[in-house]
Amino acid sequence: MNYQGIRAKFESPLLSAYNSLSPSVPVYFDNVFATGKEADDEFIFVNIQFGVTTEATLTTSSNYVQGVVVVRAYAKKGVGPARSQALINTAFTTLQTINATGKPGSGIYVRTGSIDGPSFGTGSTDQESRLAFTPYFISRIETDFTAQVIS
Amino acid sequence: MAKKTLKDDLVRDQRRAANKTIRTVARNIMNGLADAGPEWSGDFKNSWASYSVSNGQMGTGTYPYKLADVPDLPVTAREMARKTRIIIENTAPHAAVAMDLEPGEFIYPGFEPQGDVVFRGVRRDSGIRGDIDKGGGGNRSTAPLDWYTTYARGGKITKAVQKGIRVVTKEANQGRFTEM
Repeated sequence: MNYQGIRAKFESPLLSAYNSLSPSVPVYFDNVFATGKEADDEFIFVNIQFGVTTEATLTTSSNYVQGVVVVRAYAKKGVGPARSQALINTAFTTLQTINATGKPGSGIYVRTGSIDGPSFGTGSTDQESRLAFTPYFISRIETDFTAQVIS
Repeated sequence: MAKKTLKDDLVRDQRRAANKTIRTVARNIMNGLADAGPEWSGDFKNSWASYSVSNGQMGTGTYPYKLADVPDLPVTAREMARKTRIIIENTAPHAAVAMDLEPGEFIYPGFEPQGDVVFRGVRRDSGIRGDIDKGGGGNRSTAPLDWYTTYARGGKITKAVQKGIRVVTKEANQGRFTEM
């Protein structure tokens, strides 16, 4: 199973989309050493998780991978939601583009489900809460996907 | 009063079987969520509850959840036609934080986690429970980031449904169907 290839189907377009913004916005993926994150005013965090690889009751093919993609956009806190919305919208349009790509003759084919969100959160603004020190306004979208490796 | 017919009995039995299937699926999902989720004190893991949309009756229990922890469902035609029969939720006050849906505040409670630690390091400023980076910090996570979204949308919930249907159908086919 080409898990890395499936990951790349989502990660590459998202990375390109955020790199092409002006100024470009850093994107962090799973298991990437990212201690520099806190130094960034804004950044994107992409989490891809696999749920199920086989669906034996439906087909004998094991090339039916299901999972989720969660994209979080971190923007400055206290300056309104506009920037955060603009950042998360890039993820939304990228995921939609992936979904609109035709099925190839070979390689990896992915389709996403409904895209949920964006939801927004700042944590608490209570001065006594440690959450008040979180410097980010966070927006989040999520979607599920199925992937096939066509050979 | 109209006389009860064999057909009425069959319809009633079918509805009971359908209800048991729904309750079995609900129990499987509660156990699946409890298994997949974080476990420090066990509060969150033992706070999964299901309630019947028909009458609001709530079923609670502790992990591992049993069929008796899921409320009984009525067998009237009106109730059988509902699109939603049971709602599953976590009643812990910090549920949204534990499910990585909201940022939270994390304070060491003074005792070690009951569940297995899956990641250890520095919790970043995001305030998201599972967002722990490598490093020398002592923050620990007992479930991967976005475990709930992965369970709910990554295909595992479908498996729980299939398993519930299979178990009750097998019971009925073997003539050992019971309501509990």
